[in-house]
Amino acid sequence: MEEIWALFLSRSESSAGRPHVRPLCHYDHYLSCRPIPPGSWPRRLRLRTEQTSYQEPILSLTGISKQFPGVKALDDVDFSLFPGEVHALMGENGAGKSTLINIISGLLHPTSGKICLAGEEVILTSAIQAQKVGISTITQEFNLVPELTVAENIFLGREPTVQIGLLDWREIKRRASQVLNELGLNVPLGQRVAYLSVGDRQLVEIAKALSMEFRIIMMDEPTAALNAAEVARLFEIIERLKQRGIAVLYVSHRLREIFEIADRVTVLRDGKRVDTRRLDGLTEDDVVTMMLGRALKKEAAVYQAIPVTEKAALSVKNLTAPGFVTDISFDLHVGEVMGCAGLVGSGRYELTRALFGLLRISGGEVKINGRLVPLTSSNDAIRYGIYMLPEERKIEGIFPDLTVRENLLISAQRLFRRFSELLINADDEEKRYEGMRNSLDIRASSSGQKITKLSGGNQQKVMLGRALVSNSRILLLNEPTRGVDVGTRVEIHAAIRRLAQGGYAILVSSSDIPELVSVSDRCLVLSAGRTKGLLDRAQISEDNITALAIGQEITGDNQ
Amino acid sequence: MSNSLELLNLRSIFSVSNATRLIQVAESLGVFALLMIVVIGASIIAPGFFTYTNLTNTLITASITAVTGLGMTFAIAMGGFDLSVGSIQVLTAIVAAGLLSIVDAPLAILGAIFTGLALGLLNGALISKLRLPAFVVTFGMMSIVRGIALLVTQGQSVMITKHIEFGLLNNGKILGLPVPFIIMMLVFIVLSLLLKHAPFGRHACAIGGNRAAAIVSGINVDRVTIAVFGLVGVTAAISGVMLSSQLMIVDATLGTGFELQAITVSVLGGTSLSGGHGNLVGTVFAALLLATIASALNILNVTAFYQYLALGVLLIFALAIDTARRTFIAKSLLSRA
Repeated sequence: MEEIWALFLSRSESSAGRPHVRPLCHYDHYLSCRPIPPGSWPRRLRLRTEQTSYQEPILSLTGISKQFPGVKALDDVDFSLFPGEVHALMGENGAGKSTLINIISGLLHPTSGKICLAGEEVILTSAIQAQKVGISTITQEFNLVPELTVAENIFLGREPTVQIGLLDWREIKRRASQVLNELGLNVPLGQRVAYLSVGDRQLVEIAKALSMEFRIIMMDEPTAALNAAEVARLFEIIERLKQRGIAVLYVSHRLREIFEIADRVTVLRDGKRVDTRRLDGLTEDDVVTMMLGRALKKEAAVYQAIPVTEKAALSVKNLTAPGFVTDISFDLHVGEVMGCAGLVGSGRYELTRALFGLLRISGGEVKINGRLVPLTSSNDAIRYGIYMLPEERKIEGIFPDLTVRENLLISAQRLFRRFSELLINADDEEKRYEGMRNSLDIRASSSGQKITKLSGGNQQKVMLGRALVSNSRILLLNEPTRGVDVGTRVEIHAAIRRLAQGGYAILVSSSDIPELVSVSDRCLVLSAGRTKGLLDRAQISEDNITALAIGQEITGDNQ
Repeated sequence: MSNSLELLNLRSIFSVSNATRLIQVAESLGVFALLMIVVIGASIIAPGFFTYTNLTNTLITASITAVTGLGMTFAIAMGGFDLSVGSIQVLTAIVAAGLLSIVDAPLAILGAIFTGLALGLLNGALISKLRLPAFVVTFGMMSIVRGIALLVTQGQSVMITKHIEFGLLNNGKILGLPVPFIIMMLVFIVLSLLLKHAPFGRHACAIGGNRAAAIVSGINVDRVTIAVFGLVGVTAAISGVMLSSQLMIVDATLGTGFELQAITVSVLGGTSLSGGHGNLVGTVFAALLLATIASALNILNVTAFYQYLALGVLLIFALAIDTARRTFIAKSLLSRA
């Protein structure tokens, strides 16, 4: 451990090449930091801490501001990260979290302020340089090469070689398996990353960071795509990283996770730091109040039973899509929100894809309003009144080159239908956009703004709007609040309930079980491609859903 | 010469307001500035460049390239490109010339355009139905169509002797402007409407920007692909007809390297090869730039071989600019969120 530290410190010294500058001290932070066994302290730091009896932060940011044209994204933010702590960074979308992360990972340069690494001022100019000084960022988009194997990915770019420059396969495999064992990751080293689940890919990414001896690991929404078991495994690993003295900066919208895993939390609001606090003694409500600057409407209040009609909008019978789902049957009624739960690999997303004509169906029948329909393409599905929102907004949802309005209306336009519709009626479009913007409260500066400039929550609202303007009455919503801040999450849940009330039939497929509990009238639970259970409102609880999803029977006599 | 042209285009550029379009303006202005520099430079060092005849000829050459370049811009915006336009151009030129000995000019032109449309649709159908990359299909078609052109003519030249009024397509003037330029502007206006104001263009850009999302959003990707390549075929055919009327004698060896020119003017004009958006104004400027350079080199008695060098340099230059621009935008997009 010490050798690694020494190596790291000497490297950062030589690369900085300037006299040692002592960082500004924030003793309040120091006081609130949990002690670390002295053995794991870096040699040089230990000397100083013996004098001051305080531990030095591995990373400290002082007075960081970032000015974008027209926006002050960060305003005089102080932030410090200690070895062996998990520090949560929270804030609504637009609060400045991403900017701060991008500054720490070297992608953005602060307008003013100072960054110190283990007491040395550093200027981070690129992501590569940040990695060189020991900062690793694990984002939602993975930096893995899908066509390469797990082992190859872990050592990509710094492969151990034998003398004449050929790859030292034995060494690659030995070291890769060592790192993977440490993480408790059980995937074949020769497996191509393309065939791994999202959760496993993330662990490969962490393994990569570990093998590079990073001292700071930033995780941006690491659990967004993980199921409950994978989240538990990730937390175990974070716990292990802590023990190794690695500092973890953890960004998540999920409050519960923060309380489970983090030691301290820094809350940003409108580019300013609201506070940095230890999490012991705080409640979830405290953190939300810090984030919003006001108390939050309770999530549970969203659900209000509304009379569900007996009219089946969508009737699925013995649906089978080979390799994904087998023999699924259910009726989705007008005015109903049906949840759909299941672990990754349970066929949850594939079920919605099959119903949207994007997967080949080998058996079973699908009726819409009592009429048997063949589903062969998404185009057809929309014509029959089904609309699906994809799981990964960035990959299958947004069109980065198009504007907010164009993104919203992309499914509403038909090609070569009537001559009068050959050209787009700009006024009409603007009107439809305005209507959606008002009813969903989409916050964009103008309809001509690029979609990528919007926060995740607003992008998601645009996606929901896209479903609504498509004139479909049956909505299949996948992960409707993934990567969305708490405030918007509540708004989206309310919108879903409101739509159901207005006569839509909605299937919400989500890995977020509290979300399913909060919006569903009934909840379908899939396991390994088959229906494991269909819970009615009285039976819906996180425990019941989780139990079924992991393949157990639910306790109690109902089922 | 191009006074009225510049005014027209500048107005159309400046009449838009939002930030997205501002970037586009900057891109178009970049090519425009380069064009101005080259025009002024050529006028100084190449006496005889700034004469009515030469400027008209330059404009005609530019228009022929621009028409196909405009179609190509559509294909590139959709994330593909078409390497067979040179072969389609020459085949349709031959078809037009050949038909003129049998039928009237309008029918001959129509025949050529239908040939181009059919070949373009075939390109699109092969790409979308066989799930082949545009590169492979159009590369193959480039050779196939060239082969057909050689077979049809048996390697001989086809001279236009009947219906000489066909030449008016090249020599004619409307309001003092050469007809090829008018044709090019018509194509420009129609394609501008299609790209920015029709679902067709938006769907094409959507496919180029995010293909997976286009499929999920219910866009009929196959149909749009076929239509876009059909459109490129038509523009190549229009260029073929224009070429035919310019030369009045055509053979199957014409139009080599034309695909490179079309792609270059499109990319130089600010349309990114990564797809997602198209810049038609820039394409027109870039075509003018290319023709100006060729004309200046001609007057300076520089052998035509150097034009290949210039073309290649410009293409690489344009791609470098495009990459730099995307890096810049990617950085500026990393704002708050």
